[in-house]
Amino acid sequence: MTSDILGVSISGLRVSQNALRTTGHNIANANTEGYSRQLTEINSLGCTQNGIDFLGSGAYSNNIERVVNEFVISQTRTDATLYNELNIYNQNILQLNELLANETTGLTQGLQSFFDAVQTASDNPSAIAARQLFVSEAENLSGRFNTLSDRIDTINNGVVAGIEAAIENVNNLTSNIATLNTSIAQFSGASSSNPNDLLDQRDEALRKLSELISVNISIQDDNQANITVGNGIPLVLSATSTDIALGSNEYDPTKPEVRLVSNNVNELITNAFSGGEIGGLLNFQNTVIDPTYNEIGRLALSIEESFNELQSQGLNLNSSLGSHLFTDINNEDIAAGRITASSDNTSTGNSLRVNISDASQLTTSDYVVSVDSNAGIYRITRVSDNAELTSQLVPTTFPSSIDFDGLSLIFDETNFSGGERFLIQATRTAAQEISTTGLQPEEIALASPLSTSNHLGNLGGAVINSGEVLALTDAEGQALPLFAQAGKMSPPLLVKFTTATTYDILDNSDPGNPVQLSPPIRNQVYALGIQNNLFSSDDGQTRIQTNGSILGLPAGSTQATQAAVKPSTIAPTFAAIDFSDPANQFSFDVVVSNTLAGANDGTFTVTINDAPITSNTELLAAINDDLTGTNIVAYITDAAQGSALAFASSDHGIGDITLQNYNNNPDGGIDTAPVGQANTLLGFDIEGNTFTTVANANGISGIGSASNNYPVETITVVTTDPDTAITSSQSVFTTANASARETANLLSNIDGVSANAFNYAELRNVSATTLSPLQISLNGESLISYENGDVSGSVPSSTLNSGEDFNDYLATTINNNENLQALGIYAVSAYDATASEFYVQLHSTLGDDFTVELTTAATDRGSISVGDGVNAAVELTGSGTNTNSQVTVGGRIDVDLAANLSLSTTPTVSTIFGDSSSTSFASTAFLGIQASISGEPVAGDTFSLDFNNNPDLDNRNAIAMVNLQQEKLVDGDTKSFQETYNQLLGDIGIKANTSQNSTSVAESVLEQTQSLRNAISGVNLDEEAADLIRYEQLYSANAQVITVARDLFDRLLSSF
Amino acid sequence: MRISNLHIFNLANQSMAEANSEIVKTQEQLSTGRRVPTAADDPVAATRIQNLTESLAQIDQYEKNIAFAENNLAVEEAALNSVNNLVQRIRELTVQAGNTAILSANEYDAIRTEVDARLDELVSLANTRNSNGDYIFSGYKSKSPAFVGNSVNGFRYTGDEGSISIKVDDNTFVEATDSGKNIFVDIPHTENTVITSVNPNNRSDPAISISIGEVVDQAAYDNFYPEDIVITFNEDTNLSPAAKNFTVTERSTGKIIAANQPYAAGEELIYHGVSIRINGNPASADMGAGLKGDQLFIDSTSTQDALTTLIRFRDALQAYDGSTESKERVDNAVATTLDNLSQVQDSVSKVITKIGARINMLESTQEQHLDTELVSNTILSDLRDLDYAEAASRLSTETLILQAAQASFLRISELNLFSRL
Repeated sequence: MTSDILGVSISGLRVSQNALRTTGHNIANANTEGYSRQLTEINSLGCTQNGIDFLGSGAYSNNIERVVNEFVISQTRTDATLYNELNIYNQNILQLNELLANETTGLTQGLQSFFDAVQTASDNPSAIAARQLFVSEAENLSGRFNTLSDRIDTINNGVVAGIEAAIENVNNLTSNIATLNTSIAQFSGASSSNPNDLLDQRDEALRKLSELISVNISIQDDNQANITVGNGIPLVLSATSTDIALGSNEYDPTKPEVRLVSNNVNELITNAFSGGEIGGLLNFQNTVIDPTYNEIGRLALSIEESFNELQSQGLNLNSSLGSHLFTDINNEDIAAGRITASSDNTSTGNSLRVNISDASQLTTSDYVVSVDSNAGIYRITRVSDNAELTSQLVPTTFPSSIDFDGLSLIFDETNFSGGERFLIQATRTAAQEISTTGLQPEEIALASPLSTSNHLGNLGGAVINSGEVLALTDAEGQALPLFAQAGKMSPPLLVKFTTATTYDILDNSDPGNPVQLSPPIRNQVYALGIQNNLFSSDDGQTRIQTNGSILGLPAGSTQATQAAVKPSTIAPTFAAIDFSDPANQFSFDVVVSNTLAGANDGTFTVTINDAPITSNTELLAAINDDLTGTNIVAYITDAAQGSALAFASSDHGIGDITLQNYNNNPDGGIDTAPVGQANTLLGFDIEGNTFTTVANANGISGIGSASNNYPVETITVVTTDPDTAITSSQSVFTTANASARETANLLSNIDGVSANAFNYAELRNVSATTLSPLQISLNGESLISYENGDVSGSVPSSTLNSGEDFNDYLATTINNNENLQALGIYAVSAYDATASEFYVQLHSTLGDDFTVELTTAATDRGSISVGDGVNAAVELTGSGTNTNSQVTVGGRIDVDLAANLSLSTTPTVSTIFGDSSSTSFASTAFLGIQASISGEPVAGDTFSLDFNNNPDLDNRNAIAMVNLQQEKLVDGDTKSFQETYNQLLGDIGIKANTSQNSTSVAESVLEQTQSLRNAISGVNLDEEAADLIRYEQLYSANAQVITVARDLFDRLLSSF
Repeated sequence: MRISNLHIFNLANQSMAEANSEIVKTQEQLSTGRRVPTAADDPVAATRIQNLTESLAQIDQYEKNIAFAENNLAVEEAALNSVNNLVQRIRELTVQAGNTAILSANEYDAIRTEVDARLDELVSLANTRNSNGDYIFSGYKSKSPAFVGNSVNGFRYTGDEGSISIKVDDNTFVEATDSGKNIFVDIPHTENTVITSVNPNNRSDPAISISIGEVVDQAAYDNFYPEDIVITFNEDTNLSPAAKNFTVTERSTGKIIAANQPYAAGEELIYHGVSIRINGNPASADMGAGLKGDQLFIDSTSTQDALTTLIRFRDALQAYDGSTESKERVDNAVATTLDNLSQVQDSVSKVITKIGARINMLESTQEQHLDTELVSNTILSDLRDLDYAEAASRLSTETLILQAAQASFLRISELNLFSRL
């Protein structure tokens, strides 16, 4: 029995020793990271049956329990992951924020100082000191970009180093965990209780691991922990851990990626890594650092491009065009550096470049060029929104290029294999690369190369403005000729007003003889009350000059003579016959055919059935009365022609006139006049006879240039949408004999088409006696004035002064004629030094046809030669009273087409427009400059545009540079330079602010979870002290039991 | 709730660290006087501060530009005021010279001497330079004098029509100079007159020159006006024996005024009432080589520059010999000179008025800038500047909190059962 008691108390001693030891363990580990307090579990040691009673047999500690809450531990890990991710991100973004906003490292100050210097230089363009400041501030600005870029590099390098260190830590931790797994499994299998301290160690390792990355942990039945990341990529499986390593990006070796390293796998698993320090650093790099590089680079490119462009179209103090202020952004090396082949690519011999074609359209995104599997097509994808911009056939001719988002990808050579990829980083390194070209102060192009001036001899009040240079290249990037040669304008230009409302712009290379430009800018319309822009501002505008074979006076033109018929050379005689008597009456028909206006054609009957006829006047009255309403008149020819009766068209028109006997009885009565009666009365025998207009006998059938003979043609204008390449077309149809003015009006109705019609003719070699019936008319307006039926004494002889006086008279008459003035027709009496003759120039500013008619006495056979200045002239010869010769000169058209418009004709070789398939059919009308005139000019006023030599105080280009400060030149023309930087600052600031807030939230969440964990598992020394006392007492009590047992035993022994 | 010892220490650490960081932050604010040190603290305020600072810097530059423009205009105004006074004095002389009935040749000589002196004065005023050394009336070509020549052969304006614009506000520009062409050259004249020039393409070296030209027969010239005259040198072989010769033509019509005229340097030539002299060795035409002969232009104009007016007046005075003819010439010259000078005064006054208007504009712009500056600074101060009273009391509160945390930690850490065992 005593042994029982002893056994019981010994078990108690053991239990209390265990408990004391555990308490001691707790106290010892009170400050150990990750330690969980342990509790000794004490149980009673069963019992033995003694009769009906059960006697206890002591206690035992069956388990040392670790006080943990797995949920809280797992929560701690999650919170640690989040907090560490946010915290590292926050640390870095604060650093970047400080860098960008700082006055000495940020760009704000640099931009402001630079533009202040530009303004100072603009105020003092002639001062070298101000120019020096400009140069220094430009260097300063580019230096700031470089420094900023370097400092971002430093931050970025820190990120890379951080990732590298974290990866090493992860590897240490995972191999540690794998080792712990082995031990834990071993012990867990061996006994029923758990290896508490090993589990604590593993929990701590797992916590540390989750500070680095977000992991998924699953505990196996044998208490081993498996760790995976992302979509189940294993880092620890039981006792095996897989290392990860720092890999490099396929395009950029300096950009970190995470790689899985194991026996048979070696792959990039960066995407599986989120959360924790690594996730935070990767996230910072992708969402903050990369866009910042790109944004600052884009800003640098925009500044470089805009200043270089202005520099190159401005004039420096040495009177030459400026060179770039910043190094060329499309330098071949830099351009080639913007595109990187993937390290997976296998092909060699590719030569690609990326030029900045329009910095204002740049985005901050990168682009991927991917080649399809059989290397036939490539696609360009914008990384920021994953939008496919274009897919094209892989080029086979070189160089070829494709434009998108302000970039131009140039293929100098390709040798793609299927599936290859390239990355375009257009803006990333630009802030690093920006540098000035080291211009001298006097080389800053503050002036404009264009100088305009009003001629001092101008009589009108019009003034030309100072003008501006728009571009030095055309839409295709080809250099425009105007400023292509150093120190001069090629050619200098002269604006010359031909009338108060029209002007020509001439090539003034020889001020003694300004000539038309090619293509010409002539007969331009000037409007009062507005600024008249002299040139096209549209760099795609083209101009077509009509040069068809039928223009003006085409080869083979002849004079057209008025239709007239003179059946006899004998004058009429009169007898007092009463024609009202039906027996004396007679009739004949006048048949008119082939007139220009078909309405005049017809058969008209003349009946002589009135009172006796006793004079020519009565005869003509009787005939013309019947011809009222027709365009035929009867007249008596001049004496030289026999004073005979003749018929002509009243409006000087051409056609055929036939006289024939009237064979049918007009009124049913007996109308046949006595034989010979008509012969006596009319001077010819109409009975049974027919008289038709015949060649040159005082009237012929009108063939020749009585109209301009312009045919019906189809003119088609095609508009191509520059973005979609979709075309639309509009056609107009010219009408037969339409004047250039009418055709031009048709064309001008089409959007983007501006047709300008004009006409020119010359009158030479006038030879005519200035006696009746001399008449010269222009478009129906008589030029020779008559007084009392005779040619006015104010008309000089056509032979006087080699015809100069007569020409002066004609020109003055034309210029004073209000109807002609209204048509914009004016004349100049001039001298042709080459031909040594005087002549009259006729100009139509609206493009009406010129119809020149001549009437002279038949005996005079006067003549006038009408030319169009290009083709052989047509000679008009007079043929007598009441008849005339005429010729019509057709006008010409200059057609201006806006960009993306083209014009074609049917037939292709148009007789009006010329060969519309010819490559030289349309030529560029863009000169790259603009100037405007306002006010009231007078014909003859001139304005010149020339090279601006010695422009010391000219700051026009500087003003353009000053204005760049406020112009929206970034991000699709939406932001100014400063706004761009401010927006970047704002974005980073907001991100930093947000991250600061969320970091502190995550921090307190983590703290709370940790305190919860500590509340459950942490050691409280007071508690342990109490336990110490408790278990000490337990021990003492059990020892006391042994003492009692010994006493009992002693007493028992002593009883013997 | 169970509290572990670790927790007690951690908590104390954290609360003291937090209190510390608050104190440091407040201290930084107190030492900089700024409420918002970085965009991360208050992004909205930071952005506004940025914008305001920029607009203030911009205004600062505009104010400098305004001061610069004002200086420029002041120099110009002073020069033009002198011109006005000078012209007034010359007018008095002119009126005096009108007394052909009374004045003797000697007196005319005296007047002429003074006119010559005034002419020099006017030239030097027209060639005024500013502190940068720029000729202010030369337009853009400010490094060369506006008028070049001498009082015998006449002066030519060698500047251009440019005038420098200075940016004084976002969309406001002020012209800070005026071209001498508008002030002194483009002066309406009562009589039609001429302006001569040489073709810049002339091949002669040294270049031939043409006198400024004078209308000697006004009626003949008025009849011809507004035609221009071109003088072109022909091939020498046009004359027999071969010699330099030229043809005179009407510019717009090509009509010949005089053909194949033999050339003698410095000889007076009169066409349509215009007298000119050509000097130098002209290049003849060489049609075989496709070379044109030298050309000279006599263009019609209804203007005459102030200097030429004075020279013509001076010449008339100089020619005075008491004869009826010379009296008439003086009378005529007095009339046209008086008229021309009053036009000069008009033109100068117009420009002075313009300058006044520009200075007014500059001043009102300046006031706007000052207003904007004041308002911006106020807003900026609200956004950025620290409320010292608030910050100081905050600092004491935070100090108190830190002290409390430290004190309480000490007390709590003493609570330990082991020390009682």
